[in-house]
Amino acid sequence: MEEHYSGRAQPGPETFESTGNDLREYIVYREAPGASPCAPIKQPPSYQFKPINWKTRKVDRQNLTVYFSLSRTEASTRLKAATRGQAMPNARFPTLELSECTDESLKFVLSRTDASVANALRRVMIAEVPTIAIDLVNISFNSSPLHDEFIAHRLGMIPLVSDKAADMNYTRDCECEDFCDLCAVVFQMDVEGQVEGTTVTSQHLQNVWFDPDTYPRASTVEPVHWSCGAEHPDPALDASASGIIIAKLKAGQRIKLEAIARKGIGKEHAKWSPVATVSYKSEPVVSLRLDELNNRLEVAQRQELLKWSDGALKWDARTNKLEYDDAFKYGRTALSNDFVRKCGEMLVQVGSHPSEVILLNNDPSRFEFFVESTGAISAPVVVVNAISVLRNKLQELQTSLRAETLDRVEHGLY
Amino acid sequence: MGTGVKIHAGEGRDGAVTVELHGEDHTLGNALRYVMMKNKHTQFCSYSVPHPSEHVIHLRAQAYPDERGGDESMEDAENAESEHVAVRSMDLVHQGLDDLVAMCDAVKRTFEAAIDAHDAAASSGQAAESQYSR
Ligand SMILES: [Zn+2]
Repeated sequence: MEEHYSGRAQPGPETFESTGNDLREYIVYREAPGASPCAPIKQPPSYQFKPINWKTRKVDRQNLTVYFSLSRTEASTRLKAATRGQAMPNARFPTLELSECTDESLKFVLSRTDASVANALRRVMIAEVPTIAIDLVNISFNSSPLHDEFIAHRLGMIPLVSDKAADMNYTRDCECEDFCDLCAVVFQMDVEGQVEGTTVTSQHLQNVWFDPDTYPRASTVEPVHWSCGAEHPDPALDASASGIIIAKLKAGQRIKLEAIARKGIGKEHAKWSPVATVSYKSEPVVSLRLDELNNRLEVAQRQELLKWSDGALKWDARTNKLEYDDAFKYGRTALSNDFVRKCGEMLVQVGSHPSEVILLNNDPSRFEFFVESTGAISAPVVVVNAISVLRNKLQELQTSLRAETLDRVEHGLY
Repeated sequence: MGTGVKIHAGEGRDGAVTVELHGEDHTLGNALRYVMMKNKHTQFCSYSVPHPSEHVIHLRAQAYPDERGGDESMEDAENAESEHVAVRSMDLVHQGLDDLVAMCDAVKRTFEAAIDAHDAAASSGQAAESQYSR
């Protein structure tokens, strides 16, 4: 296994090369014990590992044949040179550990990857996972204190259950004239204020296409009523019981409208974003300037500190100084929060600033994700959909890039 | 939002290629740059967003010149070299897309397995709880 760093310095020995095109070797390497918290997966992924065989590449137009215009030997030579390691990706596969998982929110750690990959995932979750939201509102009567645009905007912000969004069309792609049950959902609302005053909520929105037999997709779309139950232990105050407030009416005031919900993505308008937030942070890694530490602290303090180090440090009896233990050097243990606090206190006592000795670096390959759903799509499904969206983008690019490459080859541009 | 690609290759002697990816932004550009930089054949790879209000990115890649075929009989050795590298540079882009697709699949598999494991643990926990209360 040769380590190779190309171009800019990259952290970690992440580039590797197989000695052959043996798929098993590759799979074994990827799914090595301890590499993943999950059981090793025996099946190769749906990604097709194609053995290097320039003959099949030569006739298979689907499989990018940039070499077919060249002579046989030339093509063979170039292909061998250019596609060494073709049968496997060059970057390590990330690993993923799930720590908290509910429909509303999700915490997981994505590791052994780069900020660019973590950021791609975050950006897709926020801006490119499709959901359904109210997009067009026809107001036929409004004597409420809120003007029409205000109400339309508030309606747009209500998350709608979008489990079937993936099966629905964008209205611009749909074959219908205006809109239909394959690309839209229609809600109606007609509320009149009672003497005691009336609160108009999302529960007043009636799905016109509620029949599941006639409208299998549109009938599933309804406003998300739940809120976090933990915040409102009293069911009377829980928003899941009362719905999302749209307006308040006095006696005789009335709102009558028709709202058309459509499929869209957060890039177009934030109301289509399936998440309230997606964030990631990298984990701090603590290390010490040991020579500084030994210089600044008294022997007694150093001995006291050793007790807090939890095996990460050891005592050198000859010099009476602290040293890293092998366990720390090989990454089997880390310096704890308690140690950092104690060490900081001691340094302050001797008039030093902790940052002169304690180094906090971010692990650049480990990302703690936090995903909070609006309720339109459950948080785990948001992640899965985001990966699918990213994958579809890549596949579309592959298709057009192959077509463009073939075009260039046919025009003798290679 | 336009889609599609445009390839600029063989325009210089260095054998670098620039690919215009329409409809893409930092989301894909940076991740693609990362996986392509992990390719040991990559000498240079970067991307840019030429203008923030145009939905297009430029991805530039250049492969290391590698050992050449013994039967190379082109008269102009320099042109042959840059053409050779351009083919290889273009392959880096294709390889980068393949790698990123494989990475998506790997993350999805791991994530779904983790969710299944979590659900299984939760349901067995519930069962144990209900047994206890009974
Ligand atoms: Zn339609």
